[in-house]
Amino acid sequence: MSAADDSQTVLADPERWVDEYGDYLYRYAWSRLRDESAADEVLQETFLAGIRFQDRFTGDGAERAWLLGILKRKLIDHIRMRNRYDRDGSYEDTNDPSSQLFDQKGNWRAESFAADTPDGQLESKEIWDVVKICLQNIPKGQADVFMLSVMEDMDSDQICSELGISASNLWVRLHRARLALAKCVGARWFQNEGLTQHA
Amino acid sequence: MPNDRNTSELISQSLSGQLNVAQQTAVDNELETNQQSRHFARISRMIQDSLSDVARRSEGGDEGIAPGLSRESKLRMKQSLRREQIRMSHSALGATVTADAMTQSTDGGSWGASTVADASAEQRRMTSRFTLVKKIGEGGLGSVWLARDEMAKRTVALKEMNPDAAEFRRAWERFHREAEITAHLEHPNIVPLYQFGSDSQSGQPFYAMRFVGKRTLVDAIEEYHDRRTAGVDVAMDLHRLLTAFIGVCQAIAYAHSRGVIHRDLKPENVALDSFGQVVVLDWGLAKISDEYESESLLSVNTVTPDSAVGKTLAGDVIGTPLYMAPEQAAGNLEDVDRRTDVYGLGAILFAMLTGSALHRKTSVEEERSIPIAKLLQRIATEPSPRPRDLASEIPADLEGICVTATQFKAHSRYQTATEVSDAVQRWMAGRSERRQHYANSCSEGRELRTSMMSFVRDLERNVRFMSSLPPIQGIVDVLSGRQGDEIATWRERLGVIFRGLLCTNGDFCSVSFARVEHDEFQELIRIERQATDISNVRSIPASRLAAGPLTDCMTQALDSNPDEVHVALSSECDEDWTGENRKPNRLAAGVPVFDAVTEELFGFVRIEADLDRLIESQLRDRFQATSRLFVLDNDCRILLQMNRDGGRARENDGKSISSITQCWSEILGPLKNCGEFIDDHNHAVYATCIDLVPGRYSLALALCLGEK
Repeated sequence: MSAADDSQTVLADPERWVDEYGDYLYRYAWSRLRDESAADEVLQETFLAGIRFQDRFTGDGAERAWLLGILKRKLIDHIRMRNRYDRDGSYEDTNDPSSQLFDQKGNWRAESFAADTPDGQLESKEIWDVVKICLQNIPKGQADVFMLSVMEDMDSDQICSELGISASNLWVRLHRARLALAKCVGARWFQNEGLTQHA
Repeated sequence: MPNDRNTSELISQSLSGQLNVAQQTAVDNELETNQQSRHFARISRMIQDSLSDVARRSEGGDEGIAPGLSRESKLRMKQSLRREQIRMSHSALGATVTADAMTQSTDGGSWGASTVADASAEQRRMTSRFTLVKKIGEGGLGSVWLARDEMAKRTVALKEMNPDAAEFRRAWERFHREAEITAHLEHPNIVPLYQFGSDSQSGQPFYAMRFVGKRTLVDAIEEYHDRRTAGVDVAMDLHRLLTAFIGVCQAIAYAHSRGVIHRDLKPENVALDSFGQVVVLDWGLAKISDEYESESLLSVNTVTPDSAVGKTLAGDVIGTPLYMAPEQAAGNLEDVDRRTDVYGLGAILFAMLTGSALHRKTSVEEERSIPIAKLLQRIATEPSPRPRDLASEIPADLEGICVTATQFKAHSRYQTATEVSDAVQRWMAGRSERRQHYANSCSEGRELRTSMMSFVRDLERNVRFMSSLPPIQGIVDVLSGRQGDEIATWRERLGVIFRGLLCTNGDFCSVSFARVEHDEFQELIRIERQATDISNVRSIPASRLAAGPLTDCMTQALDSNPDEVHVALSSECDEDWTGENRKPNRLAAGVPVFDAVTEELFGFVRIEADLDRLIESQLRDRFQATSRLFVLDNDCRILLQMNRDGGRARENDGKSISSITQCWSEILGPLKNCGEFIDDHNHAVYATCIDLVPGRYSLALALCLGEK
């Protein structure tokens, strides 16, 4: 069968993808990129690539999973591109939260974290509501590697290879991300708690 | 013992599962005793668990993690997919109207064995007509290849989109638009587009255009300034640069007439071919009429490294920071119009004149580059630099064109590219004419200097000769008592000779012989020309002859050796020469007279010449190119001013030249060191020296060209 024949089969109704998988793929992209326009763009690129490479869809698996595979690839490409141009994601950047958390001797500052930590029995959704805000407030270069490591479950070699960064750079970014997120989430959590109690 | 910072790093590694058992035990022990570390570890664990949970839920289709795709996005996406589907259908049916799709060539192809570069990309060739030869340039959006058009048997430049950029929808749009705009503009100074097509494999677009070589205005500017710095005459180089600049102006004026604004004018985007043809490149950021373009491909706030000040930005802030207009730097895209390109033209002219990018100096603080956001803020709020801040030798009127084009407020700039072009052309034409005028003025100045020096030497010879006349020694002998003749006889004989001297030298106004005793002088004979009737030469009666204390210049003349002439201005001899009743400017040449028998100093002979009349007679019929001429004394005070139109002007007599022109301080140095000042840049002033007493007293001539 020629590619043209294949394409006529697969091209039957690509707009259906938007209706059937648009929301699903968009939520997936948004949870990783934390940016509406970026998620929108990546999704569009995914669908366009789906049309261009439709002949590679064998039909053996679910169409949604196939598109999700493309989306995951596009997500990494997008992150690589924005990492390349994103100065605040560079290794030498000044976005190191350490100075706010540690004193000159490298010990925790007294005010580094709130006196208590969030209750461990909290629902994941409640924490996510705070975490997603904090992820948007830290440098993208740090948030992205953290996301790839935790959400996409990529190992360090894969991340370094995809983003073209060194292992030491990766670890610095990951650690800074953890520090910044911990500080942000801790502070925001108790701020929200306080507001709730006050109300 | 690790500090808390080290512990936090171990906690991070622990969360990533990177610790061995011993390290993990150490961390666990630390967490038992350190509350802050425990808090950090606990919050971090919660965050990580939360994200892992969201990852699982998003993959499973949980709708609670984020809102879905908006209705508008869905519609837009469907339209986009539909268009792509149609395009793909055409491609699948082989209906490639351009018939130029790129394909992988693995068999050497049927287009001959032309050598192509190494990697797979380099081995691609156009099955229809193009063979890629080598990559000659690469930017953020695309790569440019030297390619062979096998059909037309010619070399072309082929631009294709970079794979990285191809991931972005707006990069596609920008690339397409660049091709469309380039094709839309047909002008000798705009690179012509031959063909537009897309890769059948990747679908990525490319376009072929005329190959104009790799030389750009940047190279020409660098060469010009290298030669200038090396002291080579660069008049023709500047002329060529400005001619190229006019070509750029005309291309932009044409583009404006077609509703296209370039928005990224800089020397890098102007190619120069081997025959001097100027071609404006890179219309990727161009704006068509009032097309609204606020969305960014690469937003400056998130994607621009500080090292990119010389690179093109494409976002809310569009252009290249080093050449950017204030309205671009401010991100006010709605304010960007053709006057933004006028600013860009001014920035190119600035680079030509100074060898530096317009905002290069602004981009550096304490020898370090400032962050790009700060640079943009400065550009958006501060006036542009002036070329002469960097290179003072730039002609003022040429600088003026650049300054007008780069005015902060768009309404203060030239309003069209044609106006910029006209201004530069006028300057070039005027400069050619002015250069000729200036050369004439220099000739006049040198001629005047030569003839005045000749006059001074004549004056010296004459006064020396007069002092050696026999009647002089006759009078000395009579007054010394060695002869019993009547002094009147000798005076009469001497008077005849003196009178003859004045009659044959119209510029001499008096000749006298005086005796000196006890620091006082007593004129013995004086023949002078009447001031109001120059034909009337008369002998002054003995009763009216001058006498009195010696003046400085008399003393200096008397201090000279025999036959040594002292020449000075009469003003040097008068106590109050600047007063209202000051005498006309006179040159006085004095020589001492000695008693031939006793060899004692007896007195002096002195000839005075009318400087004003001398200059006037010298300039008569020869004062064509110069607008104003100043004769200055040794202290740079104005002795005489002549205007071409008004003749002798007296309003500045006695004033310091510095009080009427600020440029004199620049002139004085070369004048003292070289005896001449030539104004190579502005062609406004020529100055030269006339040595009266070499190394000690001189006059200066300053010839001003003035306005045309």
